[in-house]
Amino acid sequence: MPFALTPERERTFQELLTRYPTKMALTIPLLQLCQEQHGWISEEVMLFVAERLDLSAAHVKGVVTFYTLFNQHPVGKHQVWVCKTLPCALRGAYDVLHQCEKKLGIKAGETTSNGQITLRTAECLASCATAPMMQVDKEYFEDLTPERVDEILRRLQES
Amino acid sequence: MMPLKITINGTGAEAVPGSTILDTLKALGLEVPNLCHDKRLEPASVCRLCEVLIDGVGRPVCACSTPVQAGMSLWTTTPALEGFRRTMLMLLSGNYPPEAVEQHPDKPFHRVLRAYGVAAGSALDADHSPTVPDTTHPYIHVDMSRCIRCYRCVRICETLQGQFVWKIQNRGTATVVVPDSGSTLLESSCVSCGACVDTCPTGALEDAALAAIGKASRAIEPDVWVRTTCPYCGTGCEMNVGVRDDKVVVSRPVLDAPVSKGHLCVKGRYGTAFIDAAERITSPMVRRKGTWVTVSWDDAITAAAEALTKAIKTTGPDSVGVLGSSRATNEESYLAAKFARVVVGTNNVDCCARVCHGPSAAGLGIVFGTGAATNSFDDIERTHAILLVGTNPTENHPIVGNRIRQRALAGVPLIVVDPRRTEVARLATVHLMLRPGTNVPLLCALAKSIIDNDLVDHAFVASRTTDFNAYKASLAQWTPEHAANICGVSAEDIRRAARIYATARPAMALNGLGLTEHIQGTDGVMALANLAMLTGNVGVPGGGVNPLRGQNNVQGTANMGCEPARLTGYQKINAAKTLHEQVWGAPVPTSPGLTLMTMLDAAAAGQLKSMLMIGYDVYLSSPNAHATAKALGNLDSLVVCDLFMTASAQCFGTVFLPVQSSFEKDGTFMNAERRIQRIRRAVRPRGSSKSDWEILCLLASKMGAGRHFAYQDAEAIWNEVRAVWPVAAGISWPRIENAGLQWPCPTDDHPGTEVLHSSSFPVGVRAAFQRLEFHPSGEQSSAEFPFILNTGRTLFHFNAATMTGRTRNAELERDDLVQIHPGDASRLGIRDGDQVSIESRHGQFRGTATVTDTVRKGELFSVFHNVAALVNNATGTGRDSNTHTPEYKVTAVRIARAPAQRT
Repeated sequence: MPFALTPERERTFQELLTRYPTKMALTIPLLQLCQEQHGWISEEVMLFVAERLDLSAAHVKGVVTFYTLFNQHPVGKHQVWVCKTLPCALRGAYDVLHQCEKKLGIKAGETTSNGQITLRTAECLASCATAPMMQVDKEYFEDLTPERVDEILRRLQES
Repeated sequence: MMPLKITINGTGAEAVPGSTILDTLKALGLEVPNLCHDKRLEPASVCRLCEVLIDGVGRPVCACSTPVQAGMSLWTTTPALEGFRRTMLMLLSGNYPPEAVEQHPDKPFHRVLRAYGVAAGSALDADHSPTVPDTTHPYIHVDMSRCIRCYRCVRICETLQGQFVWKIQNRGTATVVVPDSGSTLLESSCVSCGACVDTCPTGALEDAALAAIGKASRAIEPDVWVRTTCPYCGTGCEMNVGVRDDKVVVSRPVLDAPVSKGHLCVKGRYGTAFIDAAERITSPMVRRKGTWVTVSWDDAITAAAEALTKAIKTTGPDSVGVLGSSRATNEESYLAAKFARVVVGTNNVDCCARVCHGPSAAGLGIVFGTGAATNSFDDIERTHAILLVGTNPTENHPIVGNRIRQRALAGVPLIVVDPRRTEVARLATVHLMLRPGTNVPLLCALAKSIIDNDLVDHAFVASRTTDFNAYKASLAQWTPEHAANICGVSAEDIRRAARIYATARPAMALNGLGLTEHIQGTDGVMALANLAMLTGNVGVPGGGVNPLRGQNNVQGTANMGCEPARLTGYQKINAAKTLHEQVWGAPVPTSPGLTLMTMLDAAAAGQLKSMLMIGYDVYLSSPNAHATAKALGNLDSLVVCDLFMTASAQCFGTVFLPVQSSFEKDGTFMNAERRIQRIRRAVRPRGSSKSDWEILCLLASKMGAGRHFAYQDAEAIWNEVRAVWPVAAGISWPRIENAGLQWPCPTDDHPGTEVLHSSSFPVGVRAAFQRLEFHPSGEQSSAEFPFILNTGRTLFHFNAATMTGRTRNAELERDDLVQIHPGDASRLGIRDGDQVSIESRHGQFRGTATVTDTVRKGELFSVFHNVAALVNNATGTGRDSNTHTPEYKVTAVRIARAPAQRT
């Protein structure tokens, strides 16, 4: 089925159009709008973006496949990102990760069977002073211990 | 500039300030390996092989992207660097097909692998399963198993061609380069310029012809390379043709060519197959009892000479017409003009400039005194705004078009005056999408808007022009609103365009046939010249009025005197008669000559009896083909010199003299910026074909004028041109061996002239503004003929398709397309790809519909390349009042779906 933006997001897109020098420059903002609505970037979404911005779908795919924040497959309602770059790794990032995997019953990169939570690892999330840390949707959780991880995930599952 | 002192590997050396370390090493012959660099591109530092060490700098830097600095101490080949390079090569080649290295030993990547002793395909996890190359494109073979992700193809497509075909997807080791179709190259937006193939260091992208040879023989390098000039449009790109077994197997751009700067389009790059096309005629023929019979050269020359002589003797020299060829060399066109005057004794000599840029030459001649482009292509990079009038340069002059496109992409304001939404129009700051035939009101309104808003360059007007007040008064009626009404554009857009053109100093105007092929063609050119004078854009770098000439040597052929009222150098007969008579040792006739169009009129009226038609298909390319047929059919004799049996020869020819292509002879072409460049023999002449100049000499000799036509070679002819054309006396063949020169160039030490009229005009210090009246075309839409038909060219085909029709270009695009607006198409039930019939009050033709918003409602655009379609059945009788140039761009027609089978 062809993809289309909700009327409200369509208005946002029209407003964005006036702020960028070329349509091509809107590739990332429009993809973000689409992902916000659809959860991930499907072939249909890429065709939609290509058509709206006068680009080739191959160009849009190049952008989508370069930036890891664009989901190329369906993801859960909530996103859990565990930072595993060096300072976090030294401070127990892998313990945090394994705790998440155990608690959720999935591996990094996978989504829970009820479609609620996707677990992923991230390169530096720029919060080294409070390592180890993870990001849940748009919120940071810092100075983590396995116990705190259990608590955060429990609340997330109940939400 | 003082050279910089640096140290390389412990030894003192000098470097040019501003150059990179890589440039410096290359200049000194100390190359380091590099795979991602191409001097046509900005450095990208992708392959990292050119890394060098600098004392005091903590880590290695890329030589390609690092400028040299005074006092630098470089190390290029330390054990650590060499080890690093070997590691990088192992990573690049770990999964690379080893057979490719063997098959194409001279590819840069393969040479580097050999030099470092690295075996391809040696990674532990190398995937040795056979890959499937993309062989869909007729010219470009794609095998991405050989891609090393240097992105040269991606970058050259963007920054040289401006097409953005190649896309990068995924990241890390999964990175792939794909065409923008997401599937095959044939289905992509590729315009087949071959730049990606030219820059590819591995053979992932390869010319299909070479890939095919490679399969058979493994070693595929041509035996010799010959530098020559492209035989297609008037841009004057230079190419190196690779010859193997006396066949042109590949054509590549000349990197240091002054015009093309290392680029070619699909025609120059891949359009050479016509040389050995099966239909090529390589033996002379005479028509006997309606049938062509192959004869000896002596018999053919005798037959041609007798035909011409008979007409001269019985009905006088002025009953003979000579048509020079814009595909031929300057030397040959000079001889054609001389042949008409000296051997026949007539000024009835013309060429196809008549039907294209005659009004540009005439209009610029009237205003400035020189009927040629005032500036050079390099001014495209110097200008601050570009005004394109009636030109579709990305298709018709692609290398110029690309340079314009790059400037527009970089933000230089671009004004496009064109009835169609062409590629450049889509990039335009202002696109004035006017009704066909309304250039004069539009250009007058631009001028009035400039004057009314006081954007005039008063200093220039005061010191370099006359008649300003009378001109200003003549513009009174041309308010933007009044013109907008006639032209079908908005008055506000006219004002915007006027402001852009007048305030961006300098601003450069370029025009094509959309300005000239009208009944007001010369007036349109003069209106453009007025605009340039009004804004002081004459005689300055980055300014001027510049016709983009259509054929390789159309500038040269008219310039060499294939013009009834002009002798060599476009000199008026009266002015140059004495000099020509001195050099020629023969009188120059004074009776006024006929133009091509009036020759056809005279033939139809029974006054012109015989014609010598050199490299020119008059029947296919002249308007109102029924009238052309009547005229040519009325001739007693028609001698045709050509590569192929043209429609003119087939229907009306009596003698056929087979000629050599530009790849089989020596000579010069003159491009649209007045640059004279060499062409060179790359392969042996086919069959018994002869060059046009040899044929003219044989004919002259047979007709008793051999003493005036005794030349050892083409260079000797050129030296005679220099003697009768003082303006170009300084242009000798030795001087243009490596780079062409632009006339004026009167002496051996003159550097040539990039910008005309810097301090004065040939007509004096001042040039006069021209007052113009607007006379609308007689072709107006009506209930019976509700559409206006515009005709022109497309990227993949060239003119009468004599040459491109014998290449695989037809696989890339049809040659009989008729563009129609979606609104009109749906109303008439016409779908994309339908056969359509177009009918005017003059005649009818068929084509294949393309439904597109490139054209406006109520307008059609047809390409004229297809011989069977014969678009000129429908074009009309209108002619420019000054030059007789036909009104190809405006014909009232109707269109309907036609039955599927072709007639």
